Amino acid sequence: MTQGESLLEVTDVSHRYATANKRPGAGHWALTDVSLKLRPEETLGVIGETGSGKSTIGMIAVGQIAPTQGEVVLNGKPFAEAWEPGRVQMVFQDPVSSLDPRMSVQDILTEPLRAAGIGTPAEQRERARALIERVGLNPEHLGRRRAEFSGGQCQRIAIARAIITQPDFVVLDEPTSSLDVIVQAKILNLLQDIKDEFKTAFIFISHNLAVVEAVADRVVVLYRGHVVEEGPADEVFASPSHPYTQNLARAILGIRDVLERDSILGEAAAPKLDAAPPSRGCIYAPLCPLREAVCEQTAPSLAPIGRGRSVSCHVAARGEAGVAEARANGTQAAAGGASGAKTGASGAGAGASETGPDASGAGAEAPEEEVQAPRSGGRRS
Amino acid sequence: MSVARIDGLGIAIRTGSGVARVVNGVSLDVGQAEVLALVGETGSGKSLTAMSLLGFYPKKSDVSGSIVVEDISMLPLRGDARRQVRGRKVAVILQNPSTALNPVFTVGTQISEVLKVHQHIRGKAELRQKATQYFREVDLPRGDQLFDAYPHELSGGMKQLVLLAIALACQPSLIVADEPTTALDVTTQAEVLRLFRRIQKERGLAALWITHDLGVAALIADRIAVLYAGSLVEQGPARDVLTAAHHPYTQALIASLPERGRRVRDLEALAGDMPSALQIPGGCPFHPRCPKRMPRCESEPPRPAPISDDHVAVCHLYSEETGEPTEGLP
Repeated sequence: MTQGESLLEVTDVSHRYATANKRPGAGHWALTDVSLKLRPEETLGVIGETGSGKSTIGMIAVGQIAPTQGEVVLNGKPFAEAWEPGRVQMVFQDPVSSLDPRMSVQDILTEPLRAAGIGTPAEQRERARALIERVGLNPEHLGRRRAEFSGGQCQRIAIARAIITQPDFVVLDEPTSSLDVIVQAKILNLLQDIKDEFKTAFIFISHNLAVVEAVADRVVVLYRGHVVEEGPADEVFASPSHPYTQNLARAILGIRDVLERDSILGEAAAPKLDAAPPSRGCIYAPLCPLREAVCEQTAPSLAPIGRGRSVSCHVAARGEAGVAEARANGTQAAAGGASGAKTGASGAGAGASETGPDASGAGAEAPEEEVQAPRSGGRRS
Repeated sequence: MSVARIDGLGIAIRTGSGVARVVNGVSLDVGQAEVLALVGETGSGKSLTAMSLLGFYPKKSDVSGSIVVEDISMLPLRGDARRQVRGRKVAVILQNPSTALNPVFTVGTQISEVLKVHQHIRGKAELRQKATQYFREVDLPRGDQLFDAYPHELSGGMKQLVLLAIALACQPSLIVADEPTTALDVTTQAEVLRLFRRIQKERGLAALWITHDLGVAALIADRIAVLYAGSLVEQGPARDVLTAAHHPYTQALIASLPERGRRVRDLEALAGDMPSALQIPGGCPFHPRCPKRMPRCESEPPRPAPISDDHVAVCHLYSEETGEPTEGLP
């Protein structure tokens, strides 16, 4: 590994998926001007909901797809130059389907070593043997195939496969979403053990804020392909700054909710935009309780707000005083927010896709990222 | 007075490699206007227990115990009882809204089918009007235009609301919900739960809500029943079970849950795995993994101990007469 400040540096990356509409400029923009850095030995949490572009950023980070625009730098060099087999690895959400059913665990674990040309066959087998115990399975499991394992065990095998080449970093895309909570706790602890022992850096992608809070050192919050907030995990979780992050944080359920659930259930539902985002201004503006006139005109950019944090919000960037002021004007804005969402939605089928990366090609099918409700009902009327 | 009552339900599936005892003596009842959350991990038997209320049993299985839905006995199951109960008294919402709706029919056609059978509504205009009324009740935006929409035009959250509307159109007294919010985004999940709770209260519906997520149970359940390896381990008011869990398994579930302010090292993971239904341990089924096991746990199946009114823990740590902690705590 070359010594540098970042293992991975993604700068102003936008990515467009081709769609059925072949017109130039059409397509679905899954990411828009996303920048992030992964530092050595760090766990970077990437938080987002369906259609946020979080899986796309993961695939860009492992080189699975090259972004439409922007720069990806690995260990100080352009990604394509710096990449070698085994330097960057991935763990997927579905542990069962990510393992080849016909291969033995031994073959699954040594395959990355063979691909990277690391070691002799005997050394490769020895590494597999050592690692299988490290992830909590037995050497006797090496001869078996995936059908004999539970979901949690399959995920252990997938993790072993990812770290066997001692990669610079591993991208984990929702690695525990399909697991039961006790198994999840085991896998999260295993990942922490691996990090402590091998100093591996992780990009941990998840929609579950509580899981990311448990593992991440720094977090990036994505909304519809835009980074809306980033910073040290403890700071961001203790006091989320962007209205969207606040909304997400409120939606996390915990067992202590049982004590105050009447008030939680009584809260007004957060508005949700079942439509393409606006073609200009802040993408979150139609739903935002703090919305101001400027938000509908100019898209905010990620601005530092101190203590290593950044937020992409005109209001939050002014600090607490600015937010308080916006909240004071807020009753009106909140009332307008709901109707704003509806207006946005009913216009969905029509030309929201005319302008560059900011618009998602309305009506188009995205191959990788699903847009929340491209449109609903209205099309046929 | 309970809407549905399950007593000593046992389901054993005959497989090529032996008998899988997937449900072992589970007793539950769902009261009127009450949400009972059935909580458990994969393989705990929660779905099989809930589906038994509709008379759905696995193939090649032996079923014992009794199941009564509003005075209709579902065991042994007779064809006429099944028709009386399914849809009419008990409606179901399933986990995956995409596969629960038929992709080649509009959602209007699909809710109309239910309205014709259960509410005997005839006439296109009337069906459309009634369907729209249900779509509005579940807060679906533009309910009037939705009638002609196909499922692929809707997001996951909207599909789940359509299914809720269809379930309500059955006019059931009990809704069985099998992890209906698991596939949804967190913000959508919170909204669907909120909406369901409001409608459930307004209509005085009873619900059996299957979930593996204690956070969901915390928000929606009046009472919680926890299953482990096909057996009930704890049952009681949601608040008591979550804030004063008595069974070591319930405590372990809570300790493993990522929550606000918890780092990974705060998450405690119980050793071992859920046993296979082919090899349920004797005595207490939880004893091989239990951090508080005692010698008697290995041989003697525990009986429900009354911790308080309506709160039971099935564990030798508590006296089955008084619910007080027993001697022999490690």
